Amino acid sequence: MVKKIDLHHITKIEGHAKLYIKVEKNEIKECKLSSIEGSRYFEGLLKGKHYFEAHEISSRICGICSCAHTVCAVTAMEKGLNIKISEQSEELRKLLTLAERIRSHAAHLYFLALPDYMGYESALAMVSEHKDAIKRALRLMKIGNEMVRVIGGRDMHPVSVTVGGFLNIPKKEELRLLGEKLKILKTDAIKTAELFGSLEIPEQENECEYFSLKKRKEYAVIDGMLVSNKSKFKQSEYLEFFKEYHTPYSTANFVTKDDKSFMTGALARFNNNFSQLSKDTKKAVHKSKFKFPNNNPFVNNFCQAAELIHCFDHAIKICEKLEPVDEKPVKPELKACRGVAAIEVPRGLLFHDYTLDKNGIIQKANIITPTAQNLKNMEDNIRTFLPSALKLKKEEKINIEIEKLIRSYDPCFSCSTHFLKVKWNKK
Amino acid sequence: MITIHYLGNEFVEKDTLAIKIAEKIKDKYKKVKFKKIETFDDMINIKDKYYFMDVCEGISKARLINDIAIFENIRSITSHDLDFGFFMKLNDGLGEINQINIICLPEKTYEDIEKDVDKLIKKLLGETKDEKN
Repeated sequence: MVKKIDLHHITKIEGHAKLYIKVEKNEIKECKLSSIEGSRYFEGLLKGKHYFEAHEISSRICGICSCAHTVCAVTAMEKGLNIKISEQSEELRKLLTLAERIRSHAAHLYFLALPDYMGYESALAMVSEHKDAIKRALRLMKIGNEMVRVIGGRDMHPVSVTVGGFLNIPKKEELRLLGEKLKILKTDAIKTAELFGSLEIPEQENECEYFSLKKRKEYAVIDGMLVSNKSKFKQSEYLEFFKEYHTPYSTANFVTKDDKSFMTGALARFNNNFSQLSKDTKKAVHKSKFKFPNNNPFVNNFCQAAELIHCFDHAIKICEKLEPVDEKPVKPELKACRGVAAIEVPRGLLFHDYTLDKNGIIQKANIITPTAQNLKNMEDNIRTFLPSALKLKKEEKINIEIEKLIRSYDPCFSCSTHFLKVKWNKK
Repeated sequence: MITIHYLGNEFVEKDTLAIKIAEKIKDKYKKVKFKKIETFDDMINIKDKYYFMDVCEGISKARLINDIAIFENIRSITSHDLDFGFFMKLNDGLGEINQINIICLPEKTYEDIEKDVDKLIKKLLGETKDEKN
């Protein structure tokens, strides 16, 4: 008997994806996870533009991750042009990145992942019975938005960040007020970790390399070496290790290392940098059933929840300590160059790579999003997860379990390039 | 005084009518303030009574809608899908909405559109007056 699972539209993930699985005599013959969105052509759009335009254009890749693309693009330009930004600019960019992570994790965890575990079709279906949880999610998203507004100048597609620093520096009072608000709302982050630590998740073993940034002094946010449980290399060397390739069945690229899939995101960050998490984050992890390093991709959602606490702690520290001074962005001396930057964003590692000519015009651009890096790993994981999922027999239940696995990665297919119409063909 | 929140995208022609109408009539009423919804916070901060103006697909003339259920539930919820309808229904589920009034505009303008919008606004103001009385 040949069984085909055709998940045309994977729901509750960012963007649009489809999954095709062919099972023959209980053996999985085909497993293809693909993005079915139109190509975005951002790298092509960036060619011929000035170095100072890349962050404004690339931020439009995604409304959810607009700060991430902004920070990554300016960082790549600064590396290429040998610009050393001030410590203040560095701290403010970390704060902006943490803010975006808070609102992104809150939205994904409560509105997209949680309904799966609570047995609801959507957040709307669970709102009347779980008002406290929904209100908590909204508070977390609001504080994330407020932080982005204060640092970035507006809620999305920040306008304050520029190559060389910031065009507008937040006032000391604004930062202190944010710090006070974050201290009050930290309870929401702790409760989120407790909630996701209590959920029953499927058993799954995903032995692969887990990639993240690593810094000696802190839980890396916008800088650091690229590390895994097996590898360590500089950001500028990423193309020597990562292979980006295209398949005819997907508009999004796949990325592998040594021809094998790898994972990036909150789970990878926990696996590589656990000792650098804040005291209260570790406390929340120790109260849960999860141990690290951990190879279960379903644990990624718990890591996102616990990471909220760390984001709050790190952000509070910056808001309380930073003594903002007025400063102008560092002006670059233009030259032909190449700049590569990798930063940690909600869904994992983000790469921006630009080649400029002597006039600062972009000759080549390469952007690799976390979802593109995780896509092959998702596909491999579905393949290993399917035998246990197939035991559920009912098509609807199997599909829900597969979707849960995909959503545990918090993928964003819009950036790398919805669901669910399920078609089963039996022969 | 009521605040009519309007939505739209200046760069998408078929989604510009609420913006164009609001800009044109914003100074016409003493008891009406117009405010563009720019962010998620603008949306969730509105409590109790909702007054909105937005472009709706599938209509040819301006009309008033008071029923939240007419908004289609998108099964495929992504963060990108957390839209106007989603947050309105979420707020409704949280018990934050007591009354909803949406001035729905068609994608394409027509000769008497301003007159029709004026009638709908007066109807809203009338209802407000009635409540005060």
